[in-house]
Amino acid sequence: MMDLPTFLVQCLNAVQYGLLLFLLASGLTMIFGIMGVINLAHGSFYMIGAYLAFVLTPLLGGSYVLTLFVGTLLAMALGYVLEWLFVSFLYERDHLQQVLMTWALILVFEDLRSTWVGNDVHGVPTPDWLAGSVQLGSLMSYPVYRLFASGVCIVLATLLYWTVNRTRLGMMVRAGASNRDMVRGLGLNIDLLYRWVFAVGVALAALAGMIAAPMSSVYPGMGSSVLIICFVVVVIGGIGSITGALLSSMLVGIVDTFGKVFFAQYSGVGVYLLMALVLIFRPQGLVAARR
Amino acid sequence: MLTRRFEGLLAVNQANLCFKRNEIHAVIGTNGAGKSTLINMLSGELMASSGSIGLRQGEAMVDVSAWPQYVRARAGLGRSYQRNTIFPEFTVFENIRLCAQAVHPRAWVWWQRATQCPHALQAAEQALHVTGLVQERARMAGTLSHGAKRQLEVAMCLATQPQVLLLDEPLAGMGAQESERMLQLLAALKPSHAILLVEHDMDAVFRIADRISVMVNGEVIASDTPALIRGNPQVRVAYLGDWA
Amino acid sequence: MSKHRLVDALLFAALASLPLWASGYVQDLATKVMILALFALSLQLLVGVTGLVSLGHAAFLGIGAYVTVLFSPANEAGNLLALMLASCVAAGAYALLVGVLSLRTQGVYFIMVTLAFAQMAYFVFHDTQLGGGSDGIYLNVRPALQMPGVMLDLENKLTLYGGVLIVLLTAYLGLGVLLRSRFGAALQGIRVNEQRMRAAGFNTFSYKLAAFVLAGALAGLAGFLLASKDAVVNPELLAWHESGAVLLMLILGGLHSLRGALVGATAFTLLKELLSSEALLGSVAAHWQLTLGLSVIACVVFMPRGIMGLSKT
Repeated sequence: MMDLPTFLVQCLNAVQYGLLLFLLASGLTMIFGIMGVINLAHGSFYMIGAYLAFVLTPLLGGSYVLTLFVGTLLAMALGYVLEWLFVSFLYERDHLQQVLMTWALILVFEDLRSTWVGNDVHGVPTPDWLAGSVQLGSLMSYPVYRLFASGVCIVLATLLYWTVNRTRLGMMVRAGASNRDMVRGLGLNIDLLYRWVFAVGVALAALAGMIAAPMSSVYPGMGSSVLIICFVVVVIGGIGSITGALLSSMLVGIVDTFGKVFFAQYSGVGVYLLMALVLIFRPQGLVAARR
Repeated sequence: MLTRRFEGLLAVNQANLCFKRNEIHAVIGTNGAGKSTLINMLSGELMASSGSIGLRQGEAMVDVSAWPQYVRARAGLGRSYQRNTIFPEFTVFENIRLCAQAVHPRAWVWWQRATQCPHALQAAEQALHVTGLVQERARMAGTLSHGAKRQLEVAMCLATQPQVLLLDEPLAGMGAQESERMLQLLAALKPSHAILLVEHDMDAVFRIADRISVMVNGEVIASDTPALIRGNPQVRVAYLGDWA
Repeated sequence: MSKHRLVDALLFAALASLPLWASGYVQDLATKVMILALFALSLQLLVGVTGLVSLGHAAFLGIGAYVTVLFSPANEAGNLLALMLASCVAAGAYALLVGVLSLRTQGVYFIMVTLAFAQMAYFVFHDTQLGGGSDGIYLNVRPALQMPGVMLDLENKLTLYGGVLIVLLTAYLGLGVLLRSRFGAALQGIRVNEQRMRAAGFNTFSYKLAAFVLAGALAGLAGFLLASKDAVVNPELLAWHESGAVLLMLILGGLHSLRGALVGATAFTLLKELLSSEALLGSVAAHWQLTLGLSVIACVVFMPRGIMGLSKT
């Protein structure tokens, strides 16, 4: 068994990873839950975010906050344009066509990245003011950056929850989810609304990638590997449910982190076993939403 | 005494109903009264929160409450839907034949052509005749008129030769002539089946039903012969209003 | 219909005679196309016939291939029949497991779950030492079968070609018979309206599971053939890019017939060969991912019913 400090550190790691996953999964589940589009390219946005961090940091003089800010704006713009040109086409299509179109989008993104930035593995430096570790109690120290990452995720999660569940905007979005034409009939510009929802989803994914960049490396396959975990999170949590996504992100974070510690070689399988278990007892996910 | 809860909403509250052979039992009520929920519980698409459902099998009354839908269907509980659930891309005959196939004794024989198995063919022919769709047998189901589609819906229900028919608004969207045909069909089916009819068309209901149950807000407020229902003051207030 | 049968017969004749008039490269390509056609056929049973969109079908191909290599003796030919059977059984068994867990879900959930289970299989072969890790393993000697009077040795390219052709033909005809049976009729009914099928009395879960296991086993068979052809396996066989590719083959060819699977597999493989061929496209070939991606988008937009659908207008 592990000693207490190590255990606590791993717990914090699990929470931090879980929160990052939540950022990604909430975007995915929102886009599916509200707009009915299954987006395989979601992982690509994560990858794009990380590469954006890599490219922008030297351009913006190394200012981390500025990089995050500009990167998020760029990602939102990308999402906006993409929805307008491409995703809006997918709303009335069946799932198979959506799968294939977004799969093709992944190929396009991979190639563009390959052409413009190359296929090398990169690192993004941790900003000075977030570097180092901080003493937590008398037992252990923990990297400041990871605390920062968790903090940002918590703030965003709260904002997201509050917006979707407590504001009129969120109400419109949720109404649009159940009946698009009806909402349009009421005079609300549902097309614009969907465009923004998608843009926000993309921005969240990219932001997750930017935050993750200093912790893990920036490499070509990062989109694919995170996408599948995202899917698992959404399946376990229940499609369309942000609460479910939070719950399952945490579960997955715990299983994955502690899995790596105890079962190094087979840790990758742990998350799928969790999913299998959930499917046996609650096929609709932990928090069943309407769709 | 069936009850069904949906997250705090009591959709059906202690409904107690009985359906007999050679009897058309109509269930009427306003929208949201719980009629759909009731029929879904009986067919097996929804599980009741409490209460039990009994189906007569031979001499015995069997508790089918825990049986999934397809098992109930094979035991003799047939159902038609309010919205058409026909297979538009198959012919009329194939629609019925496919449903008849469900009760075939040896479904796993994969080398025999489906269109040649006598059991299903016979049941399909019968259902086709009873519902008067013989002329249309080779048409694509999707191209039928609305009235014919509703007839097909009933025919598919009959294909498995059920004893109990749960009919969810079979007259929905029909014109006068088509409704007349459907009512004649129901009258013809009555002697050999127990029929539950959920309907909104009051003329039809009072004409053809032997018993009427009225549902309001999930409860059955009255269950009687048409004449008595017509005179029931509670029903008048709650539902019939200016009608009658 | 008999017009299509005539075309089938002509194509079969052309394929059968191919070794006589084609170069080694073309024969090799044709073998690859036929194996992928079998793979696509197996998925067509799920997607086109039953309406189950699975995004994890490559797992079964990979399992079949790995079983072939793992159970072959180190330095001599393994028993062809035994290995073929083992591949099918192993793939079918995994399909049974995945099917039981995932077929209780619908629509998008199902797509995601099948993808996840395929990824799990990918992890097992990629991260563990079970299958030689990310490098994969080589098959030193291809399978063979000693029959009275004749030796079927897959080291012989002609034997391999003939074997693949016969297996493909058998599967194609067999699935055709299956589709016309009661079982096949029920699967198609499930695709159109599962609820109605349940209301009529069909236990739709078991029908779907049976289709899923059969499709998995057939994909395993394709895996066996692939391993026998290339004599090497690596985890990328199970990657979801492959699952996406085979799904694309179906939409390219057309979902509404078995022929669509064959046409789609051929078209996709040739398209990919074309787009990555430096000889034909020069430096553009390096960007095959981009061109392939754009082609896919164009296909989905302009040919929603696939190539076979074009002939119906």
